[in-house]
Amino acid sequence: MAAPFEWIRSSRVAVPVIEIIHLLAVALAIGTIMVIDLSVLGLAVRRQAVPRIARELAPWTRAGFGVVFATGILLFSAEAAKMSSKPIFWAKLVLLAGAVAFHLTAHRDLVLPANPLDSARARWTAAASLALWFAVAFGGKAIGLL
Amino acid sequence: MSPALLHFFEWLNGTPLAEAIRLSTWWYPILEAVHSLGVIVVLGSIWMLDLRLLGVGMRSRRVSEIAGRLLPWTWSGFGVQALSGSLLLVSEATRLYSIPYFWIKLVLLALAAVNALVFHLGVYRGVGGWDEAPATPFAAKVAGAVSLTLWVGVVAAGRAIGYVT
Repeated sequence: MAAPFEWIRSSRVAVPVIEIIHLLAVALAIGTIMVIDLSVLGLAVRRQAVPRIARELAPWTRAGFGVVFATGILLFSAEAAKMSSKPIFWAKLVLLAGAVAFHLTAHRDLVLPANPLDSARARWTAAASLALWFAVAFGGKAIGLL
Repeated sequence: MSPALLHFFEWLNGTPLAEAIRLSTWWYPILEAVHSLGVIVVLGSIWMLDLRLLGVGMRSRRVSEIAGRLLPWTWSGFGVQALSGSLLLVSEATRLYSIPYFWIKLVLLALAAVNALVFHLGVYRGVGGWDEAPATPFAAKVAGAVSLTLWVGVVAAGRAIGYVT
């Protein structure tokens, strides 16, 4: 277990390369969710198509998150002491936990075929999902800025 | 690079605007945060069309529907990126001039634009014939694959700029 983490710490390119993969996977995961949420809000693909495109995009969202989490753990392991001391890192994790919980509950129900999408409740769920994921992404960016 | 170009970048670097961004505590981090989040909107919308063109995502939707409904997001996102990116560029023009990743990023962006133009003036003109087909023509798959790859390169080169000290 220690060997790859050791390599990441000692290599000059490992952290940048892993971080770039992390960012690209974030764009894929949040990008797919964003298209679904914008469609629920009537701002992208036709609303009636949402359950269908949600099913079609789910594998890409999952693949994106798989890579995000794997690379995120590697990045954390390489700078664990530095990260643990940053409040913004913990704030991001709390936001992330909230966004994941929201995604697996309210958002999962939102894209069910039986769910009426033409309702204020559906629109608020989509808007909250967008706000949560962009807040998580902002938290991630802020780790580097603060 | 030509001396004229270097002079232009040095001039940009010395403008009052560049000075103002550098002197402010908040402008640079705000611009960087906007630029970093904006990429999600640009990639999120472009990649969805690319996945459809490759026949591996949103296969139930017509290609023209995805292109038509998502292109406004691509353009709005791109507008935000161009504006925030230009301000970031001005604020550290001299530094960027010397970083190869910056030029690589610009070249990849230009190639992505050429690819999109070739797609829209080429195979997309006949989209009526394959709009609903889950499997797209070879030229459309190539356009999707090239776009996907070029944008990976744009983001990678962009992030790499930040690692050069």
